[in-house]
Amino acid sequence: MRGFLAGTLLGLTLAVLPQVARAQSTVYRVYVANESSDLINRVAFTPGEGAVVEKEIAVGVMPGDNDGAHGLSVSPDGRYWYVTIAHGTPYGYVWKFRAGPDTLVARTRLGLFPATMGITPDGQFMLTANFNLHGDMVPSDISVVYTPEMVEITKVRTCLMPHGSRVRPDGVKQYSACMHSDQLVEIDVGTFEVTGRFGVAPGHERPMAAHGEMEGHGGMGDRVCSPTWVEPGLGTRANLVVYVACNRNQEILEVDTERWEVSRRLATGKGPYNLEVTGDGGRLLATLKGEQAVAVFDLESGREIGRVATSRPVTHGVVASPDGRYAFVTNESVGSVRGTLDVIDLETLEVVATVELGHQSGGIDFWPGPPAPGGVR
Amino acid sequence: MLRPADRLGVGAALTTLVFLAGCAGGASRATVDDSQPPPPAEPPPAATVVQPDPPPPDTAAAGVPRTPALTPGYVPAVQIGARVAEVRTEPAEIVVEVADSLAMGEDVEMIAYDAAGNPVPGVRILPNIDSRFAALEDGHIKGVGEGDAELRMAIQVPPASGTGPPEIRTFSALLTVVGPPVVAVEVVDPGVRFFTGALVRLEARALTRDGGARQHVEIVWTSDRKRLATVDERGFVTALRPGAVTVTATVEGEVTGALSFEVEENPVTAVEVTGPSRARTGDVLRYTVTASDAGGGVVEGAPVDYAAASFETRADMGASIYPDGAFVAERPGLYRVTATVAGRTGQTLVEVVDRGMEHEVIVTGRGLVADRPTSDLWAFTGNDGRDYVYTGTHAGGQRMLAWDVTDPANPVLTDFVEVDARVVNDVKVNANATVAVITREGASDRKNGIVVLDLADPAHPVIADTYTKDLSGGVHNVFFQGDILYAIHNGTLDVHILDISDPRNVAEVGRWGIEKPGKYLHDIWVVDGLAYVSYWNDGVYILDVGDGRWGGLPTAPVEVSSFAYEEGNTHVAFPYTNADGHTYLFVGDEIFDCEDCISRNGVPGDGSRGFIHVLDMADPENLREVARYEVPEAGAHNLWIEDDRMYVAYYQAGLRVVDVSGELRGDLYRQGREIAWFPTGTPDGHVANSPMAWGPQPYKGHVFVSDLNSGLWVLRVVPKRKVPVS
Repeated sequence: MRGFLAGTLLGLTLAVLPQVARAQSTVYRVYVANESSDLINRVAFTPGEGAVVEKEIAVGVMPGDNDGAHGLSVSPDGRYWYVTIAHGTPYGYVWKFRAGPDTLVARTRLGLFPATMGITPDGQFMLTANFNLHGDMVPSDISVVYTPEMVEITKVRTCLMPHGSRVRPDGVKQYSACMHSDQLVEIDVGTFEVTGRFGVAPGHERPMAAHGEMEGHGGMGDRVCSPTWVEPGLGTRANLVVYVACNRNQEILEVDTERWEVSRRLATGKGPYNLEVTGDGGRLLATLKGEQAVAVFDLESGREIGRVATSRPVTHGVVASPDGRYAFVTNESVGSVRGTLDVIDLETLEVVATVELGHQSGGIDFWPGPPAPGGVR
Repeated sequence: MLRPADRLGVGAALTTLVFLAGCAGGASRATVDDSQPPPPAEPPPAATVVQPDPPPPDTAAAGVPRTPALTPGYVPAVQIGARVAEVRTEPAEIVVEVADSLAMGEDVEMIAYDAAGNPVPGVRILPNIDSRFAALEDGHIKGVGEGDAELRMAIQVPPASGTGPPEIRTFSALLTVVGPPVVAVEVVDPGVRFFTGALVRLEARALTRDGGARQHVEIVWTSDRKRLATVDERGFVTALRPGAVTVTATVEGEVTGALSFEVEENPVTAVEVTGPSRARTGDVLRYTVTASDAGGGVVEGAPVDYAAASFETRADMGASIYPDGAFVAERPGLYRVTATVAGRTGQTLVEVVDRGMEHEVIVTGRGLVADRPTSDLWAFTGNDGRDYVYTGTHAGGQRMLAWDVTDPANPVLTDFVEVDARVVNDVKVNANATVAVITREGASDRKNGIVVLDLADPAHPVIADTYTKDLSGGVHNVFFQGDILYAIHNGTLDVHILDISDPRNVAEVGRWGIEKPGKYLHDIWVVDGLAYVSYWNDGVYILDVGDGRWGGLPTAPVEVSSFAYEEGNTHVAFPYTNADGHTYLFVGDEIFDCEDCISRNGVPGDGSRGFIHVLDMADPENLREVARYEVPEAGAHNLWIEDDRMYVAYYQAGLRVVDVSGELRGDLYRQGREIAWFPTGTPDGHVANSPMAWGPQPYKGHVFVSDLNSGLWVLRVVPKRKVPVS
């Protein structure tokens, strides 16, 4: 009880006085999915002290097969976290856990290889990209889940290999990238219909008919974008632009979603994979899967202001703390070598903590801690 | 354009707009209905709390300023939803054929109604189907397999409280997927005479245009002369008076089949039952029933009903007798076997004793693997004359381990092969012991495929080739047949047929798979030109891959038959002909998703379930399930049968050894046919004291068992020693 009261009081204090959150006692927490361990790690990072795995949560049901914990998202109110169980038989699931005690609340069957999730700001809807990366390439879907009841209410067919599902800050549109179609697809969250489609093939970036071709590449020839992620802008660019990671073409496209045009290009290193915009909208973080690094961009100037080497290869996921001070980065690593989480100080652009996790550490999200009593954070 | 946040005057803070996601209406960007009242000054919590508040963590969390949600107005599409009392389909009951489809909006309409039963126009209804029997694709309902499904229809409505984000209400309609139309009905002749007073069960086969028989079909039975013979809804005929009768089976109202027979005055005055008077539990007994008339003559073709009864008072009767007269007991005891012919009975007694085959398992040797989980194994004799076992590794494994087991008491880890993978699930060695293949899943570049090993020095296998073409989704299992390798691909969920005659130049030469949405493929085993393919919920498929009787070739399989069962999750299949000449297919299912299997609400799950189905394979084209072996508290995994003993790696229940001699019927576990078991857990394992037996292989008098948590075991099954009592 003493701990409960202490945590509550501190939580309330932090909510009222955000600056106090930077006090030394601040603990930052993230959840990480380890795809080849079927294990979730909850990691606590205390500035000046380091990062520790404070909890391991086993997920999946198959002892003899990998269930494949892939994407991980925390609900906006911090009450729950969700993990996609991607591998399936053949359809995958999303599991819902109560954050904190980390107990299973519900499981919902989705499509083929459910990967990343975008959650509306009210937490009501989760839009999950069914990546369907194996076998014959056929158009796949975004699953729409009504989270209070964890029921899939519809599937929206989009393109080949949708990935990187994200909902923009106003909750009105959801975006996903189509790795094999070289497209960016927009879904209206009110109607759950495709309302925009944009080709991202290098040299052929262009708006496409919303209900047009799902399969074909937007461009020609060998140069492809192969987009793996789309991240909405924040701050002054909120609800106006999204950033698309061109994994093969080593660049990030800033796409103006009002005008449906490329407004900027940010050159990256090899294999930009996941993206994150800091809460103030000022910085863009990109994991470079092929370089074992994270690139940090200043979005005012559009310049890369730093590239931070990570502790292990196959750098995968990235999330920034809401105060914009730290980035938390997962590294899958290779084979039996475990993955890691690196904490990057976004002021010094240095790795300030590293902790070893399970195998193939990937999906990650920030957990601000439990809600205060009464349900209001 | 004014953004929603601006309209509300609350800026762009992330959580101030929590309600708008659900409010956006129409094809345009979301706006707030101007006609709605402004949000109140003191809004309630944004989200409906559906779970109790969790306790806080033991340390302070990084605080994030949160802005309370505002109460929205609701766009028309949501407002209209408030009027909806029900959503129904037209037609109310949707019927679609397997492999056929119905167009939403044309063949099937979704209509919203208010409480007075009036249609409510303008409601946005979102359809969805989550079923193994049907799918919703491109605006069409597609029939996948026979069975009932649910068409779920969701609408958005304002919340009951009047504030907060819109909610979803769901409605459903029954969706029935039926097989292809029945074109003929065959009433099977039971091969008995219809004596007055007899009760005879008839069976009808509803045949479809492709020659198959529909499983789920309603049959209406009628008798043309009910005064002479009646027939009930299950096809039981009661013969009443002598005369000619025709019983008709009608399917789908118009397709009929019939059987005509003559009801005869019952000539039987006595019934004699002869047969074994003593047996062991699990023995399948056959009795001779002789019906005779008043003159003492034998009456041929008499219809016989069997029954067995125990003299015990326990609730569990302990024995069964099947309609074909096969008797088998699960418990020792004295039983009465009764045969009834048209009201006349005969009986005999049989004393059943314990099967008495208890053995014990002795540990000969161990190959501890404590640093990573162990997967499948393969035992063989290398070209150097020594014996080896290769084991795979799992969940961050990356390696195949080579063990020299020439001295079974001292397995020696001679080497390992490391590949880019997190799961080396399967390992197989060809018949000449020149080549091995290991499977890859979880490769860092997601290309996976297989790795071919050169076994010139079997103690130190080396990689000859890595083959990934069209196998990027990962390979779960493989099997050799000569120079052909059958690979189970997680991506296409087809069997990829590879020519591996040149280990350094592997080439795909064929592919086979079923055409069903939602199919899931797991394993293949090949014996004497027949392949047994485990297709999860679609059951086991037998393919001619060189047997020739059905025209199949190793590179061009021909389907012989298939068998699916209610439990689904068909995981592995192993054919076997025992010493008495009975040929069975032992099929294991692997069930992970049961209520007890997984942890929930803080209560740990206790792992998988599943059992071994025993299918009579005397006719490979007509498989019949006749028996099962089930350890109730655990989940079956791989199995192997040799010398009439079935070895089952039963996951958390360790190794199980089962006597599968003679005819098999009923529940082998309860019959005491399990002769030994061994818990493969160990304190020094990867997971301590936690048996998780993966695969067994009897070889040269020992049983090699791989265990996920402890590695390799070398075991010997011996008769149980008598412990002298002093």
